[in-house]
Amino acid sequence: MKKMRKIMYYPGCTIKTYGQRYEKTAIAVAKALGFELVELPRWNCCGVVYGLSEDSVFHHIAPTRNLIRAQEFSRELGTNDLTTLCSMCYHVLKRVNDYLRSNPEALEKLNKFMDDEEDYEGGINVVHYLTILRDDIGFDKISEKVRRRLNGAKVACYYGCMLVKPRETGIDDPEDPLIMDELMESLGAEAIDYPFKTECCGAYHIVSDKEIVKKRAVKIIKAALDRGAEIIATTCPLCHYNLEKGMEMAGKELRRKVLLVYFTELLAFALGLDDSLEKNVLKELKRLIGGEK
Amino acid sequence: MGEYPGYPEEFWESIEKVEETRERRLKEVYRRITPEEKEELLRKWHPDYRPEGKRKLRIGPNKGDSVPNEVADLLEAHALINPDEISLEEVDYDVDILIIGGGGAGASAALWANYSGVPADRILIATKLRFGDANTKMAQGGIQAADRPNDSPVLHFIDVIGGGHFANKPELVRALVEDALRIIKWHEELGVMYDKDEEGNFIELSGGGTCRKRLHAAKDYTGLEIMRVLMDEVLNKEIPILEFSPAVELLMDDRGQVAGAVLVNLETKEYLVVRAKATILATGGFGRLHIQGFPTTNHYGATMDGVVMAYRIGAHLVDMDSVQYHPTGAAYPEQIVGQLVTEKVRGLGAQLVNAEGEQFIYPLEPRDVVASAIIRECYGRNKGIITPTGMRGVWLDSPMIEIIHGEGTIKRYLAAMYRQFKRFGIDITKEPILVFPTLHYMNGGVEINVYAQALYPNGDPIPGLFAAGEVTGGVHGKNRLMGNSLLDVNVFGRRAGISAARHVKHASIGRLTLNHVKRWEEMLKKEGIKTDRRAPILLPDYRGPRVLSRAINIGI
Amino acid sequence: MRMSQAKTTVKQPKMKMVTIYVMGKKYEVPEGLTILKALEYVGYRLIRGVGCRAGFCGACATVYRFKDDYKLYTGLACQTTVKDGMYLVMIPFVPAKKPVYDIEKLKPDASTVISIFPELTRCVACNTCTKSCPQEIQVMDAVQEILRGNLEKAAHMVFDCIACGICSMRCPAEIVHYHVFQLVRRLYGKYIAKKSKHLEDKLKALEEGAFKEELDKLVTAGPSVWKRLYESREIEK
Repeated sequence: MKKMRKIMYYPGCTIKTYGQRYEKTAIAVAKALGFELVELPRWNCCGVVYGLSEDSVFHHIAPTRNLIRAQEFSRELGTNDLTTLCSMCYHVLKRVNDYLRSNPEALEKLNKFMDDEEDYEGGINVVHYLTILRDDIGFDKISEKVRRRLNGAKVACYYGCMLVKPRETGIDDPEDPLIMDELMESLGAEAIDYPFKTECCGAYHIVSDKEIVKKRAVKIIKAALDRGAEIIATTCPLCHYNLEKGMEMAGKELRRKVLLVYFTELLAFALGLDDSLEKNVLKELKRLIGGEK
Repeated sequence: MGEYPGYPEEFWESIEKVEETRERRLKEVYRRITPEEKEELLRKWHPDYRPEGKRKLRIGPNKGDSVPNEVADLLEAHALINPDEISLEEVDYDVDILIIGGGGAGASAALWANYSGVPADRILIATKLRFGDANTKMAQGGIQAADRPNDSPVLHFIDVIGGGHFANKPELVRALVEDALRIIKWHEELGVMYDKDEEGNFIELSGGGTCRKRLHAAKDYTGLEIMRVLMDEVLNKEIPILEFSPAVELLMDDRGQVAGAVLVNLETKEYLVVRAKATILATGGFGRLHIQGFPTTNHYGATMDGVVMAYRIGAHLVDMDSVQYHPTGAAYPEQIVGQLVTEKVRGLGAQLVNAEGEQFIYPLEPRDVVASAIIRECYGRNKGIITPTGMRGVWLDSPMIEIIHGEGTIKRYLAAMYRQFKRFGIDITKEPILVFPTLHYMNGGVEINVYAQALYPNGDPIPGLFAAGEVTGGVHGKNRLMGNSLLDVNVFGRRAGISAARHVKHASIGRLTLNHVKRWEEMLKKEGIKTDRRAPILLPDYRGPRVLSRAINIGI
Repeated sequence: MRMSQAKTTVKQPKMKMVTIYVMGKKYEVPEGLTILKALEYVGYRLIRGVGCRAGFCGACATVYRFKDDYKLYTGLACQTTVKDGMYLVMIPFVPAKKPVYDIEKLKPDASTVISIFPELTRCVACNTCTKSCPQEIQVMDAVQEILRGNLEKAAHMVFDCIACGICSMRCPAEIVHYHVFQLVRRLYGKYIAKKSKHLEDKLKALEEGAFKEELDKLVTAGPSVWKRLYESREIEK
């Protein structure tokens, strides 16, 4: 029995409160594919967008502290790889990590301030879950393990903006990313191309100005629907929340509703990991795609 | 940041003896004291029985009663105010209920008065220090209530009255033990975090003198946890609070009712006149009087203010001759001498041992018995430890707790104590604690009835005056059991609040007067009491001797 | 009126002295005093900044430094021993009015806490609060647990909080931690912790009069009966 490869896993606040189904399926899929997501102990909020303001060293503390946690944990687990599911968390952690690696002054300042922690040495690799699937496992290997082919289901992959921009940080081409599309094709679905797959969902405007989110959701979903999409797959709990809420608010503006899932839920469905799926999601997927394994 | 050396060299010989006898003692249960032995022990060694510690009161409703000298000093004293200098024409606060004191009893009273229909803005809480600064916050071990299947309020009653040497007022004891269950339920609804098991049942321990395990605790921060939840709720109800404004004299009216109080803003020295239809005394105890020179567990403001003020208007006091010394106050290091080492430590199995490592009393006898036994061991049998500053003590073998209940028990259930000693380099999971009795509780006080009304010597309620908590007497008789004080403040605070709420529906106040102060001054003259003492003293004075000898009054 | 001095504050003559600075003024005090007792020794009759004198009430929050050491230290005056060169001030008050809420109307989740204390999300995980806490609480970690909805864990983590306010004075996000924690603990105690069945049963029995007869008798029985009952009662081991 080959020993499971372990990877450090950073959940982030939204996954734990709103995106539990994303995490559950991601962990189950990982296990089925031979790697184990081990949650980082004592992680703190990634700092969200504040972590990006380059001239505010203070706002880099939160993500850097997580990298230090990963550094501590890496010695126990024997790996330097830190993965995450949430696009926002990925973006912040990767971007700050790259910044610190290339800016020894900033790194020194932060290390000096955080005198309650060990110094961060820059050795952690922040790698998105999708990248692991493509590069470490391989989509063809995943395809072999599929128990339920997705029967040409029409899936529109929604990337959002944080996952692929800027070019240095993103996991794929910022204008025309294809990584999720390729994954869907390997599961037997038909990946629908549509113009707004990297359009911002409205992010935190959902708190202050819901109208913006509604408009964007309508634009994105309508474009996908017009090209025949039955399912929209996302990679971020915030995007999922916004599209869901936007769809609700839009009501009759959209001629029909579309099923919003996390890409890991489609993966879990394809691999036959029914226990990890929420009952109503499983039911919907069976209805749209077909049931038996 | 501070390497404190822990116990000095000279203690270690004795500590080693304690360690040697520990294994054997784990199987030993020291026999219970017989009633005859108890009487002799108390008579010979309890500080209450020292004749030079007391004298007979020469004035007032309890004239002729024996009370500790420090208490007599304050009761046989002048008022702080001169009635001719106080104008009662301008009333600063006109309320239905004035609550003097912001501890557990005061907070309870305020909430229950509000629940009973008195609007928040018709209540006023006046505190000497901050709201919540009281002995309540410092209570550690627990609160009693007979809720387990093998227990009942009847057994609780017997424990209380036996612990009190049968001198308690039985109807007050009944109120205490019945209301206990209602109070704990109320606390559950408020969100107090009592220690519970996975099923939701309270984890309960024995206390001194209890025949069942009925102490409910919140680690060893029970008082703090209860007090801060009550405080939060009082603030949520937006009941007005005047901090740093102690009462210095009760007000009466021309119909013989208590009609409020004169407060003083401690920071500006301005006096404030509060007219109230009902006044609730919740002023706590007298630890800072340092009776017979003992150190104390009490908070800074425990100076018996309520008793002084009530006495001057004629309230009857009961059991003021009875002072509770908590058997285990810290005896080392110097910095924390007198501070409480909760009875819970004994409740969890720690034994009291002398310098030779041997037990000398069953650890969970009632407090007065254990305190006397420790004093006898140190001063009678000379088997105590003497610290570098001359303090004496015996060992409380706390490491036994880890052996009996498992490693980590102390850090979990005695977190406050563990931290307190760790700050000074002592690890109580591995080293025993040095203890000696410390002044802890005012067993007696203003006499009340089950409605929490203060009483005259003939038993009549004093119109408009209520009292609850440590300031009162009659609930605990001559000796209070552990866990009944937190209970007392809640039970009688609640009753005071409800009674006061009922009272104010029909009460009306006449013309305000301070004539009782003038009458008091005349009485002092008549009894031939010559003194320059004034009371209440409000705060103790710990200024160093050199400063005091050279301090001058420069008018600012 | 002078109080009888407790054994604790009178020291023997010929003691070793240390130098401390109280709000910048230099004083010599006996070694081994707590900051609180040292202040009184040099003549302060304190009104603010003293409470229980035993480490439970948070009244005596003190902030101090030492010469040639930039670090800011915090502690409770009643529990911290003076050290030579201590340069200190007591914080008499922390300005933080508590928001009013009705606990009966609240849900025990993160969004409830955040709606009452929206500034909680401003936490940048700088850990200054944890470094300031005299009770060794993992303050920042507790804030993080609350943000992601683990109220039960957070309530236990912050149990030892005495509301001294040092964390809140230093927090760059201007969070008032002890107010947040008080709410979280009450939400846990009221909604998440299970209710006691024993208590419910016993209370029901009481209200139905199960103990009335016996207590009626006891109240009027008198000392000799009580004595007999007390001395013959069985004590649970």
